[in-house]
This record gives sequence, C-alpha cells and structure tokens, in this order.
Amino acid sequence: MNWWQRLVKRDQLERQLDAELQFHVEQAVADRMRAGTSEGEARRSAHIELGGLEQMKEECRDARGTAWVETALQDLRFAWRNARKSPAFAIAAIGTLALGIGANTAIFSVVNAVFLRPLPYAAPGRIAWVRQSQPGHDGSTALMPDYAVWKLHNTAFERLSAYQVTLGMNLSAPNQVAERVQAGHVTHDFFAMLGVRPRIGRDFEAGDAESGRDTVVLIGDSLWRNYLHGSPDVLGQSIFLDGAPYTVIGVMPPGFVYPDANDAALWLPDAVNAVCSVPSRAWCDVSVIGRLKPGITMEQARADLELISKRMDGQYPRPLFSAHAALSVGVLPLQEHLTRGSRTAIYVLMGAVGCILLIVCANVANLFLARAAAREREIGIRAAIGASRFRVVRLLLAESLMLGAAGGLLGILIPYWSAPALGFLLPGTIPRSIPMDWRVLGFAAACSLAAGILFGLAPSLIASKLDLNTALKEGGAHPLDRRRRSRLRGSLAIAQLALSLVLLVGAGLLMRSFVNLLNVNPGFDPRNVLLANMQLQPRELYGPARQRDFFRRALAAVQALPGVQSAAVTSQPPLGASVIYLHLLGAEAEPVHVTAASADYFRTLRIALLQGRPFNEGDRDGTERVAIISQAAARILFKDRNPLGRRIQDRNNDNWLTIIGVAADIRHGGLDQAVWPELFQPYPQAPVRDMSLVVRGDSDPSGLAPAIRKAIQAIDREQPVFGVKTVETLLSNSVAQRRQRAWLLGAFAFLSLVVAMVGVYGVMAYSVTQRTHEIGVRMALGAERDDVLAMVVGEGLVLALIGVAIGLALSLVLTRVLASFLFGVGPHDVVTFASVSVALVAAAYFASYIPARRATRIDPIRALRHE
Amino acid sequence: MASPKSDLPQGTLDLLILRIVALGPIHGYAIAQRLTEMSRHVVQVPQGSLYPALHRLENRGLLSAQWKQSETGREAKHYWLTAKGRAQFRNEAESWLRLSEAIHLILDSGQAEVL
Repeated sequence: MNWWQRLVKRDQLERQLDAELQFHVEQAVADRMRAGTSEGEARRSAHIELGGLEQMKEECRDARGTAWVETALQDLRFAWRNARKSPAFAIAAIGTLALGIGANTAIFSVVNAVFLRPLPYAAPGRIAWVRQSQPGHDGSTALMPDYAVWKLHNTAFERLSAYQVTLGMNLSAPNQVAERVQAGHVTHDFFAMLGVRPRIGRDFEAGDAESGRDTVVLIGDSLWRNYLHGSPDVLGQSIFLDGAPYTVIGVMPPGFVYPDANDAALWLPDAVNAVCSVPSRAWCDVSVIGRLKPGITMEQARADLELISKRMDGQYPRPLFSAHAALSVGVLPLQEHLTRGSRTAIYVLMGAVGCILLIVCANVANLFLARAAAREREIGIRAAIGASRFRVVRLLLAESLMLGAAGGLLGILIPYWSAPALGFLLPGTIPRSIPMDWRVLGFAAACSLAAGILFGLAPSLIASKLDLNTALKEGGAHPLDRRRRSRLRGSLAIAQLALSLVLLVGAGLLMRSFVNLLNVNPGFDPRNVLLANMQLQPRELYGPARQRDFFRRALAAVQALPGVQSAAVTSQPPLGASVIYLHLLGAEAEPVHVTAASADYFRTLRIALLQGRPFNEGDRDGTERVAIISQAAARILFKDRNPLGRRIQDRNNDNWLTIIGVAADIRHGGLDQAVWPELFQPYPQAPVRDMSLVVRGDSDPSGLAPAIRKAIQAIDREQPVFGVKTVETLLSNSVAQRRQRAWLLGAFAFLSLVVAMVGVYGVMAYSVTQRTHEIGVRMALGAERDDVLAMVVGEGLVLALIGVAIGLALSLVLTRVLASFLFGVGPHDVVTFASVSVALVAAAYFASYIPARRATRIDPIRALRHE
Repeated sequence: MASPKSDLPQGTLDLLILRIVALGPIHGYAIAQRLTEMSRHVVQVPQGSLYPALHRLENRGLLSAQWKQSETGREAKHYWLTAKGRAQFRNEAESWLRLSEAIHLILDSGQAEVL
C-alpha cells in the first residue's frame, strides 16, 4: 500500500490493526490457559506483556506517515465548526481579507501583464532594444549611419533590424473611400527577427526595398478584413499610399502586435531608404531591435556595438550635435524598454495595495486576539489534558489559514471584474489585455497563505503561552497577560492608522495635483470646438499653390455648413498637434513654435488678442510677410520693447516677418505643459500640407463630423479626414491618466481608512468590555459620565496621535516617489499633510466615541455584581 | 545469580525481526514468541515495540503482509520478506557482524591489562 492508499483506506487499516492485536491477545491467552492459568489471570498477564494497547496503536498509526494530514483535517474540521459558530466574525474576517487580497491580486495582474508576461514573439528573452544616448540624457533611438555600420560589422546579433514610425499615410483602393492609416516602416528582416510569419503570402525579402522594383506592402489582419473585405485574392492586389501604388504581398496573423506602435495597420520594407532621405542621413535616427545570438549577453552586445561606433569617426560624416564616439550605446531587453514609462505608477499602486493588505491583516489579527481571549478557558483545558503548545498553535493557525484561503478565493473575483478598469495602467506598447494566468492565481494563493500566517501566528503564539492555572480559574487570564495583549492590540491599531495615513497623504497629493491641473486656464475656450486633420497627398500633385487653394475652398465649404459658427485651419492645433514646427528666430536664434493659421483662428478658439490686429484677406502670398506672436514669445524676442511693427528673421528659411499683433499665451501642449513661445503666420504665406480644421459649432460639434468629411471629399475624394475629436475630449484625455491614478489611489486610501477605523473601533469596544468592572468601580466612586467618556475617547485619540506621528514620518520618506506625478504641489505639501492628519484624528475620534458612549451607560451596580 | 539482561541496542529490533521473518511467512504473535525464545536469557525485547516496528517495516516496503489462516484456523496477518527486505537484511546483518567482530577484537586485546 502506498502513502496515498494508506491515507484514503484509513478505516480498513484501523480494522486490520484491531484484528491483528486481538489475534495476538487471544493466542497469548490461549497459550497461557493451556499451561494451566485461569482465563482472567491469563488475560491480565498477556496484556501486561504486550503493554498499553492504545499507545501501541498510536505508534502503528504514526508508522503510516499519514498522521499529519489526518490531524490537519481534524484541525480544519474544528476551524470550520468554529467559523459556523460565530458567523459574524467569519464574515467580517473573510470579507476584509477578500478586499485586501483582491486589491493586491488586481494590481498584481497588471504587474504580470506588463513586466512578467513574455512578449508574443519567438524566444522573446533574446530580443534586445538598442539605443544611443548623449551624456546625461537617455535616448531611445539610434543614428541611421551607426545602425548601417553595426548591421555590417556586429558579431553579437543573429539579426539586427530597424523600424520607423511616421505620422501615417493616406490609404486608398479602387472603389474605396480614402482613409488615414498608421504605417510601420521596417527593415526587410524585421518580422523574421521577431519570429512572426505572414498568415497569407510571403515575408519581405532582401531586394524588396531596392529602387526599380515594385513597391510592396504587408497588411495587418484587421485592415485586410475591414478595408479589403477579407478578400481571398488579396495577394498581388494594388493599394494606394499617399497616392502611389503598392502591391500587397501578404497578410500578418490576427493579434500580431508591432513593438512600440500597436496601431500600425500595414508595413513597408523601407525603414532605411524612404523615410530618411539621403542628404539628412547623418542625423536621421531609427528604432533598432535585434535578436541576440544564443549565449550572448546584453552587455557583450553593447560592448560590440560601442566599439564599432567608436571606430566610425573620421570614416563617416559627423552627426549634427556630437561625435559618434561621444554617444553611449545601450542594449536592454525589449520588454524593459517597452514598459519603462509604467514602472513607477504600477509600483506605487503595488505598494498601496500592499499597505491595504497589512492593514487588513492587522484588523483580522485584532479580531483573532479578541476571540482568543474569549477562548482562554477552552485553550487552557486543551493544554491541561496534554495538548502541546505546538498543537494549540497549529489548531489556531488552521483556523486563520482557512479564513485566509476563503478570503483569497473570494478575492480572486475582484481582478476578474477590475481588469478592464485597470487597462489604463498598461503602456500602449504591449498587448492590451490583462490575463488571469497561473502567475496571478499563484500570487493570490501566496497572498492568502501569507495573510493567514501573518494575522494568525502572533495571536496564537500569545494564546498558547497562557498560564494554565489562571486560565482555568474564573475570570480569565492573568492581568499581566491581559495587559500584554491589549498593548499588542493597541500597536496593531497604531500600525493600521500609520499605514492608512501614508495612503491618504499619497492620494491627497494626487488629488490636489489633479485639481490644480483642472484649474489651469488653457488660454482658449475648449467648448463646442471640433478638430479634424488632413494631410494633402500625393506630394507631387499638391505644391504650395494647390495647398492654398485646397484649404481656401475647404474653409469656405465648412464655414457654410449649418451649425458652424466659425472655422479656421492651423498647422499646430492645441493638444492635437501631430507635427511640431520649432524654428530659430531673431539675432539670438531663439527656438519658437511656428504655426500657420487662417484669419479666424483666434476668433474660433477665443484666444485673446492683446495688441494689434488679426490676420485678414489682405495677408496673401506676395504681400508683406506678417506674424502674430504670443506673450511668451514677445518677452523672449523683444524683452520689454513694444513688438508691434518690428521685424524679425526666421533663421530656418531666412524670411523677414513683421509683427502685427500679440496674442495671449495658451497651453498648447497640454494643461500640465509649460507655455510655448509661439509665432503665427497667415497660412497663405506659409502653406503646409499637414493642416487641421478647427470648427466652432453652435452647440456640441461632434455631430458635424460627417458633414465636414463630405465637404472635404467633395473637393478631393482621395483626401481622408482623420483624428476627428472635440477639443474637450482631447483636454479630458490629456488629464485622463492623472485622473485615473488619483481616483485609484483615492479609492485605496478610502478603503484603508474604513478598515483602519473599524480596527480602532474594535480595539476600543473590546477595551470597554474588558474594563466593565473597572469602569463600574470608577462610577461607583463618583466618576461622572463625561469623565468616562473622556477617558475612553482619550485612549482612542492617543492611538490616533501616535499613528499619525508614525504615518507622517513614513510619508515624508515615501511621497518622494510620487514626485513625477505631482502638479503644483511638492511631495511634502504642508496643506495635504495637515488636512489628512486632522481628518484621520477626527475619524479616530468618532470610531472611539461609539464604544465610549456605551461605557457611560454601564450600570455600576450591575457591573460590580458581575464579578 | 541470574545473569542480568541487557537492553536491546538501538535499531537491532528491526534486524531481529527481519531475521525471523526471513524463515518464511509468519504472524505477529509467532514473531513475538520467537523473539522471546531467541533472547530468553540475554536481551530484553519490549513486546510493545513489535507491532509498530512491523508496520514501519511494511510501510517501508521491506515486509509484505497478507491475511491467511493460521495453524489454529483463525485468520491472522502474516508477514514475509520482500526482495528489498532481503537485500536490506543481508546488508545490515553483514555490517552488524563486522562491527561486533571489531568490537570483540578490541575488547579482547585490551582485557589483560585492564583486568
């Protein structure tokens, strides 16, 4: 019989053991009677010779090696009976544990999705991100010439590939409405490097990007299904990108994710050739990803590439701002690079839920201590009839582990429904799902186990150290025991308060940052304004003259639409700018954002014009070049002189511009961004092919989108209108991450506060119950109800003040990690620290007021008789 | 004066049991009797340890057991050696003999001087 059978067939083994021993005794008795002894005497001496039957049986059972399981089962049965006897206790414990473990598992599921889940590529551990950095500044890309030379000479990589993300391309196909798509520009071996193959057709080949050959494209699964209707004869079909024909050679598998640009809809094999035109090669950069040869470390690869770069100076043109050798090379795991922006936020939240779990454990430990006190006599009796200390601890631990497991099972439900709400924590560079895999379940199990031990062990150790004599006497434990226990309960409450304060301070800082952000005046009126982007293609067709003509007609058409109050075009719309134009202006070559805008731009966005005049129809191509500058630009370019009528040189194109107006500053890049120094030019004098329509409607402008699209495509049906959004949406999106982080941490802090207050209430209520007699004596001796009230509440406040003091000290150290999330407040903001402390003390006051009131209602006569 | 009985050295009970069971299938009571006979005037065999030892050896796979009719006609649990038990017995018996021989030698050579 193996171990498992011995465990399961326990009853059969017991029967056999009885039979075997009985046989022995019967034989011994028979032998003795044959020798002439009387039956009684024979039986007696046979038993003496064999020894104590029960003890022997116990030793035989031990020999099976299954005893520990059986006692464990026994303990669990006992724990279950206990839980059923006091359901309120069990429900309170399991409920709070489920919250604590659930919150932890939910955040861990994000940690798992971001940092632990392998990327969906073949052997992802060998895929490395390569970057070059200037001293003191971490870059994320590499110079094109360095990449080209690395590719030729490196010995560390199986494949070294590169890619570029651009703003997008205008896609059209026969009998299809034009659309805007994201394109990935890759080297031909990019997919082979990742270990992904097209589901239909072929991968790129070495010659695909050479000039003179057909231009080819690989398309994504969703583009194939939605735009090309999943047509099976898609291979060889032509589609048009920015007006030029491309032949489809394959379709990528569904769910294929392109590192660092999840929304790429198609791929072109021209990372090196087309995007960076040859004259600018020297300072053009690309994103470099490679697959290391087996056994090569990231560090070896780094050293290899750096050595190659160092030898380049002298042989190749110098980059714009430094020598090749001055740039340091970094090689890091792809996953680490893709998730670098999410690290701090996720770790902060993990710390927050860790605090919650500790608070919950302290709470349940307090419940346990209270119950252990009520069970002193029971435990005393167990000890008196021979249960070892270890046995008693095991019994109590079985109970806490059972509650922990129940809480864990319930808690696992939380990440199931919280997963969609936590999606905002995922960086946009990895697959956007939060899986519930074995790691998450394992973590939940580990949490339950750790919690069970944490809140179960300390109370059981104390309970098992009871003095037997006093425990069995009427009146319970020795006063010394009681004092030690109440001190432990007090410290647990203090720990809860301190941790809760840390969370409240963190949440308070984030909330204040968020409110500060909302109070920032953007400088324009975001209500009822719609943005829509266009990029005129093909390049050859749309020269400056046609650009002017197109946007003039587009503006006229849109302004004529019903429901449109005013409309303008601009090359850099607020919050939605896809291209940043930074020019160097004036004698000092100051960097200033230069925007092309139409006459009604300031009126449409309601940007205040502080001096001078807006653009008008007279500011055309060929008339004097004019410009409006922002206040910030005026300060930088003209100091305290009046800028009106002055001329300034744009060093990017050597044009001289006459200043005709000064506009108020706006938060162009977002509410949390610094104000840009800006210069606006009338678009006919500075035509650009990338322009955005800015449309102010009479009311909510979202409904205008189809009409605008129709009006534009009536002018040229090959021009897609894309990125159509209201400015309010953009504004809300720009603060969404902060809002969600603040809410999440706020929710956690509130949860911790509630649990901590239940903890304080529990401690005070229990203390009042324990001291019924004492309070009765005090009242009999003349203490007023107010004295009693003050005494109990005072004790609660002492706990709160100690907790607050410790919490403040912890917060001073810990809030520093939040520094990068704050806006308009420092990590040691006095207002936040003070108001949170006051709130916590007030809450503790109320939590101890309820038991204090009960203490005042103690009837001294009954309290004294009770003893 | 009756010669004093020594206690059984640690671990030798298992060896003795294996020795007895090696002779063929035998039930617990008979093993107890053999033990008493074999050790009558020399060592004290604690009968209470017999059954736990048997169960331990069975669970370790050194003994096998089956319920069979005994000589008196009643069903009794009979034990016999498994192949593993036989190998174990051979090993332990050998090393025990070697050890006792060595101790005997040492004691013998020193006897003259000490006494």
